[in-house]
Amino acid sequence: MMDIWVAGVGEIPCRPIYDDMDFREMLYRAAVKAYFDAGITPAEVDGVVSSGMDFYEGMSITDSYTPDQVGGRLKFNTLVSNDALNAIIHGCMLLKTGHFRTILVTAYAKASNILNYSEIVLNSFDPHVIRPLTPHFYTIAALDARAYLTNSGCEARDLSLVAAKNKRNALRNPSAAFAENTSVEEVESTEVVSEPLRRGHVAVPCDYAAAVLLTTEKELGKVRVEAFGYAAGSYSPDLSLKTWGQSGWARAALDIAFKQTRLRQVDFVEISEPFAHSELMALDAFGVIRESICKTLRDGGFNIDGHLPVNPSGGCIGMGYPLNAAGLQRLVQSVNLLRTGRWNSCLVASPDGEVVDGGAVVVLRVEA
Amino acid sequence: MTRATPSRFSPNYLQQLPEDLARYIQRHGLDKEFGRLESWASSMEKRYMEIGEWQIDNLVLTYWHIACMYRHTAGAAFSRFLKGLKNGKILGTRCEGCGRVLIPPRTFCEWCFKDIDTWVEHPGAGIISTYSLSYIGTDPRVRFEKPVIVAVVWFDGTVKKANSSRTVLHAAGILHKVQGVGPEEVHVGMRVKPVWRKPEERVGSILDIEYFAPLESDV
Repeated sequence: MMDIWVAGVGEIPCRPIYDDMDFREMLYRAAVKAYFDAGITPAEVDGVVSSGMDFYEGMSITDSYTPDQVGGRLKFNTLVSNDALNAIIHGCMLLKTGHFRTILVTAYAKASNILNYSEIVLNSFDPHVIRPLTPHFYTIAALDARAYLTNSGCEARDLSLVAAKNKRNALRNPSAAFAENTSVEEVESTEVVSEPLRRGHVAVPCDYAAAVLLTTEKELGKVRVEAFGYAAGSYSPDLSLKTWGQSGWARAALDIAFKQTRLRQVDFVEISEPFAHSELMALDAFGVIRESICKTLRDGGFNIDGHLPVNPSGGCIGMGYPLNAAGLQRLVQSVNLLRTGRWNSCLVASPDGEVVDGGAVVVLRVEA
Repeated sequence: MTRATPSRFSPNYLQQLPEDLARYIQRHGLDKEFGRLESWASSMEKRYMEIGEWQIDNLVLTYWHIACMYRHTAGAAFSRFLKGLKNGKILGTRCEGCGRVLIPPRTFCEWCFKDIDTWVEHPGAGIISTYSLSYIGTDPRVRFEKPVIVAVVWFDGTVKKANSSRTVLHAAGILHKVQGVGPEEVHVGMRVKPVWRKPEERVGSILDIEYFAPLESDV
C-alpha cells in the first residue's frame, strides 16, 4: 500500500474581508507558504487539485483561473466540487495511481464578494417545491437542529456550549477571525435567528485561502495521511429524502476510512461546523463516543483539555466559515496542531456545506 | 390539473436583504419575477415535450430567476490598473526574473513563481494580434446589423518569441473593441492606439478606453 504524506501547508488567516487582495493574490500567498513549508519548488509538483463552486466564486469554470497563482502552469489541473476535503481525497487518489509524486491541493473562499449568500444556497434547492417558499438556509439548518435536539436529548443550551468552546479555543489560533473569550450565557443572549438557532450558533462566512502539498515521498512528509473516506448521506434537493437531525454521511465515510487503517482512537477531532449542531450531529453519527454526546459535552470532554478535544483550532465558529474551503481549513489546522507535538493523531471531517447530507473524513497521524 | 400559485418575493423576504440589493430587485421588477403569470398561463396550455409517440402533456414549467449578486474585489494589481485607466494611463508590471511585462498587471509571476513589484507605464500603442467581426452578443435575440470588431491588442515591446521559432511565448495584451476602420480594412498586424473617454467620464473601468483605433500611419 502506497503511503501518502502531507509535505507542507500554507494559509492566509481568516478575515471577514480581504479588500486588498483578490482571490488570485490570496491563493498565491497561501501557496508560497506551502512550498516554503515543504521545502520544495513548484517545479517539483506534478499536478493541482482545487476545490471550487462556481456559484460561490461568481464565475464559470473556476478551475481555469486556478493554476497560475499556485505554481500549476502547464501541469495537470482539476477542480472538484463539494467541500475541499473532497479535493484532498482526490489528491490522495491521484497519488495512489502511482503516476504522480506530489500534488498541490488548494481552496479559497471570497465570501465577502457575495452580496446575497442566502440566495445562492436557496438555489441549491428544488425550484418547484422548495425555492418558491424562499426559506433562509438558517431555517433549514434549524429544522435539523430541532430534530437533532429532540432525537439526542440535548438541549438548545448545549449549542451555546459548543459555540462558546470553539470561540474560546480560537483565542490560541492566529488564523482565527472570530475568537472571543465568551461564555455560554453570552452566546445564549445573542438573538434568535431561527429557533432553536441563535446568532452565536452560526459560523460567520469569511475570506480565506489554503494550500496543502501531498506527496508519496516519505522524506518530504511531515504528517501521514492514514486513511480517508467520503460518503453521500440521505439527501435530495427537494428535501423529501433528508433524514432530519442526522449526519448520514459521517459513519459511512468513517467506515470507508476504517478499511484503510487499524487506528480506532484519535487524540482530537477537527470538524467543520457551519452551525453548532453540525458538530454534535457528526460526532453522534461517527459513533466513536461511548457516552452520550451531550453528557460528554457538558462534562467538558470535548474541551481542549478534555479526553477528546473537538475543534481545538476554534472550528468554523471561532475561525470563520470559508464556505467550501472549510475542509482544507480544518486539515491545515490539524497538521499544525499535530506538529506542536501535543497530539499524535486526529480525525478531520467536513460536511459538504451547511445543510447537505454528505461529507468527507481524513485520518492524520504523526509517527512517534 | 392543479394550477400552482406563482411565488413572489414577500415584503418580509425583501426586508431581510441588504438595502441596496432589495432596491435593485424592486427597481428591476425582479420581485415579480417568480412565476410570471403570463408565462405560467402559456406554459400550462402547450405541449411541453415529445419523445417518439410518447407524449407528455401538461407538464409545468417553473420559472426561476437566479438573482445571485457579487462584488468582485479587484485586488492589489487590478485596483492599481483600473485607477491608472481612470487617469488615462495603461499600467503594467515587469517581472525582474523573466523580464516579461504583464498588462493587465499581476503581483506575482506564474513563470518564475515570485513576487513582482516593478510597475511600468505603457504608452498604449500596439498591434492587432487577432480579431473577429462579431454579429452577435450574449443575448440570443440580438443580431447586429453592422459587425463589431473585437480584437486582441498586443502592446508594443511586450512580445517575447522563442529564439528558434515564431512561437509567441508571451505578449502583454488585452481584448477590446476596434473602431475607426472598416471590416474590410482591419487586419492582423494593424497598429492601433487607445481612444480614451473624456477625463470627467472615466470611472476606473476597462471601458475608460472607449475603443482602439488605427494609428494614422496604418489607415
